[in-house]
Order: sequence, then structure tokens, then C-alpha cells
Amino acid sequence: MRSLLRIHFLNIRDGSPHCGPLSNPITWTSQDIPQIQGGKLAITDSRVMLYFSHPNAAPPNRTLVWDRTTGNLVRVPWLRGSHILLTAPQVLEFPSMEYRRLDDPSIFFLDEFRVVVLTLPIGTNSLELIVFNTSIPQGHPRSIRRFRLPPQYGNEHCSALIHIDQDRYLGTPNRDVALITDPTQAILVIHVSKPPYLGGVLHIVRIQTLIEHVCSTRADVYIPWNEWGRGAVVMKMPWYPDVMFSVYGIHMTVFIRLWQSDLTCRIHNFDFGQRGYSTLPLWNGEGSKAEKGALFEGGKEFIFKVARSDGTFLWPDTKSLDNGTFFLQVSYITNSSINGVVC
Amino acid sequence: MSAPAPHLTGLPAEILEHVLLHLPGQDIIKIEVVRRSFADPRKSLLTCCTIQVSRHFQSLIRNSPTLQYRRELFAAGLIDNPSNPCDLAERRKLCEEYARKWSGAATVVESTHKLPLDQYLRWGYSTALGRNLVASDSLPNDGLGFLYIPPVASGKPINRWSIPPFPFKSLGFAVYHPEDLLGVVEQQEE
Repeated sequence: MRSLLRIHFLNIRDGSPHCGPLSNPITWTSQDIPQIQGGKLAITDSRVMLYFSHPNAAPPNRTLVWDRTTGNLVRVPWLRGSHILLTAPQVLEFPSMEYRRLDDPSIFFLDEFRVVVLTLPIGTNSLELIVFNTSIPQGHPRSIRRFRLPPQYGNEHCSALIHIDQDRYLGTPNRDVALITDPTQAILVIHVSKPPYLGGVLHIVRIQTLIEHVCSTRADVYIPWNEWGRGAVVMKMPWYPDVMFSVYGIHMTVFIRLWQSDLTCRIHNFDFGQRGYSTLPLWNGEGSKAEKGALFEGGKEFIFKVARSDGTFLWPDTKSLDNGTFFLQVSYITNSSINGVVC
Repeated sequence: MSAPAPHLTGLPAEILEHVLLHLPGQDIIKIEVVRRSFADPRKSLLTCCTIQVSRHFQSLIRNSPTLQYRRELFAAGLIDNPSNPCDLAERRKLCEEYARKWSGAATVVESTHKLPLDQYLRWGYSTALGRNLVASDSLPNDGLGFLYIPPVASGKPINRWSIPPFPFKSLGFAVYHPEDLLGVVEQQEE
């Protein structure tokens, strides 16, 4: 079946065609892409990535990366004989990732050019992060690294997600703010839920650690946890019926909905900056010696209650105003409207 | 009589400050830690010299707003955006405010936007840097509708706009806020 994909670029203020340095629209035609069921689009200064799923096809998941200025697909790395396949020169496929949610596939840009994917390789019990650099030619040894997570936290029954600051792609200074997230301190959170333990394990790692390994000249594609996890923080989290995460720079904020009937939530705020995480209460984790174990109760905790209590849904997020100050944003639905609360 | 040996602390403060400004934020903080860790009178002559140098640097850092700003930025997990027109005093104030709000000590100020639920919860929502975009694919003419909500602090009104329906099925969208860029994907099957 022949399929055509088009990506249009508009100005969010008024819908006019965007005047930036880009190919508009980007068009891609394929002979073997059935109707797409869900997916994700991500944009940086120079790249556009489309991740999409079509569950009735094999493999079910694919990722395309374009050069935003030319509209050409860029070459992405591939591993022959692994669970990651590249059937056409530029198409990255993920046949073993059925457990992913379509709306949060755990694939993100780490910075301007590097993409990170969370996956569980076939026949293994170890989750891994795969980082590929779309600016380096396919097949170059520096273009891909596979970062293994400790095996005791992952198996075929677990579910895992990445939480990352999606709005401020690292290395791309915003043009109208005075203060920018420090890319050398910014964090990435891997949230693993593993039965029968009805809670979660959080791995908090510095994004810079991933990037430095990708930039190194080492030949090994696989990086063991004992090597790259040094300095990471592992945190066990109790089970909660309704919990959401937000990552902003060095901060991780966990929103725990206390009651389904209103919009009261308990908020735990953690600082994982190079100075901040040293103040967290630590425990001797059961896992690798590479990481530090922090107590979930160690974060700053406060109760947040929206003035109106008749809401039925909640979108929490942590954002920055144009003047560089921080606020929490909570959006909820009442019987007749969506309400956004900025705090 | 020979001239005294040149010493690092003999350099003008402006030059030392310029040198220190090339250090990462954590190294500026380390200078203070070094001074404290060597503050033991039983230490050697070399250590005493280190203390002297460290004290000199610490005094320099304490009296330099630029170095203080560098140190405060690191502690807050931030870096400076040199293309922003704010002066140093404004930047330090922003940094202080940012750290204070993350510490949870800030007063909560609430602002609520009401949006028409029947149209604008069907497709997606994106927010960053105080800008919000709510999208709908359920307009009467099958087009795509958007609500652009500017930052609260800007005082600008909400802008509602729409685009005609694409020839093919609309799959999703993404926003790249630094450039006010909206990407919309459509797919055609043959």
C-alpha cells in the first residue's frame, strides 16, 4: 500500500506558514506504511522526528528523522541482526516495543541531534537506553550507544517510561529568556514499574553522561550500568493510583493525586543538580554499587489545592515564564470548560 | 636586592576576575570549600599560602557581582543567555526568584483560563514558556482549530484561529516553542 506523509509548519500565534529556515511542507512517500494508529512528532532547530505505530503491521513501530532545513531524511544508525532494524536506509524500526503507550513512546531528542529510545531487547531482562546521533553517518561507531540499566529492575513484565524536559531541547537557547537550563546538569528520569512490586523505581541520570559516552571514541556499542550509572540516583517510589511526573532542568516534580473527586495533590519536588542531590537523604540501594539510592520522602513536599474543586481531570506541568521565573501549571476540566491554573 | 617573586595575588583584581569567569560554576564554589578545608592552623607553610590565595580569591568572588552571578546560576541549575538584553542586576534577580520559587517558598498566584470544552479537548494540548496551544480537530467544517494562549505576564489576549481541512487525515502535531513553530502531520493512503 502506498502512503504519503506530509508535515506542515505553521506559526502557533496565527496559523500562518512558518517563515523559519525550513522545508515546508516535508513530504515522504512509502510503499509499505499502512494507516498509522498513533505516534509522536518532535522538532528541534534542525531536526524533525516522527515516531509512529501501526499495530497490525510488522514491525509495529518506526521512526523517521528529517533534516528540517532541506526536508531530506537523515541517515540514522542501525544494528544488523538486533531487534533494531533498518529496512530502508533511513527508517529505524522497533519490532519489540509493543508495551509502549502510543501517546508516550519514550523516544525523545536528547539535544539538537541525539535521539534516545528506551527499549527491552528480545531475550534479555535488561532495559536499555539507545542513543543515536543523527548528525553522524550511519554505520560510524560513534553514532550509536546502548546504555544498559541494572537487570534487577527490568524484565518482560515491566513497563518503563522516560520523563524528560520536552519543551526546552537542550543546547538550544531560547531566544527571549535570560536564563536557560544548564545542559550539563539537566536530568533524565527512567520510571520502571515491575510486578509484583506495586510501585516504581526511578533512575535519575544526567543527560550529559549519555552525551559524553556517545561523543567518546570507544569502540564498544554497549555501555554497562556500572560504567555509565556511576553518579546516578535510584529511588524507590511507593504505589499511588494517580501519579504524574514533570521534569524541568535539574528538577523532578511528582504530582500525586490524593482524591479522585477534587484537585488536591501532594507534590514532591526534587533537586538533582550537582549541589542539590547531595542534600537528599540516601539509602544503600539493593542494586549496583554504581548508583546512589535516594529516599522518595526526601523531596520537598507540599500540598496543592486548586481553588475550584469540581474538576474531573488534571494536566500538571512545570514551566517557566518569559521572565525566567518558575510556575506550576495545572489544567482541569469542569462540566463546561477547561481551566488552566498558573501558580 | 632582588625583587620579590611574582605572586598570583599580585595581579590586578580585574584580571583575576576575568580568569575566574572562565571557570565552571562548581569550581567557583570549590574555592570556598578549599578555604574551609584548609582552615587548620597546624597545616604546613604551603597550606598557609593556599589559604592566603584562597582568601584572596574568596574576597574577590564575594565582591564581584559577575562571579556571584556565575555561582548562583550553577546552584540553580541554569546558564546565562547572552543574547537577552537584561542587565546583570536583572539577571541576578531572576536567578534568585527562580531558586526561591523552586524552593517552595513563593506565594501561590492563581490565574484561570476558561476554554470551550466542546471544541477544544479533542486533539491535543501543548504548553511551554508560558505559551499554550490547545488544538481541536472537531470543528464543524472538519478543519483544525487552535487556541493560542500567550503568557499570563504578557497581558495579551487569547487568539483563536483555524486552518482549512487538509486533503488527507490529520495524525497529530508538535510545537517547537522557541520558534513559535507548529508542525502538523497528515497521511494519505492510496
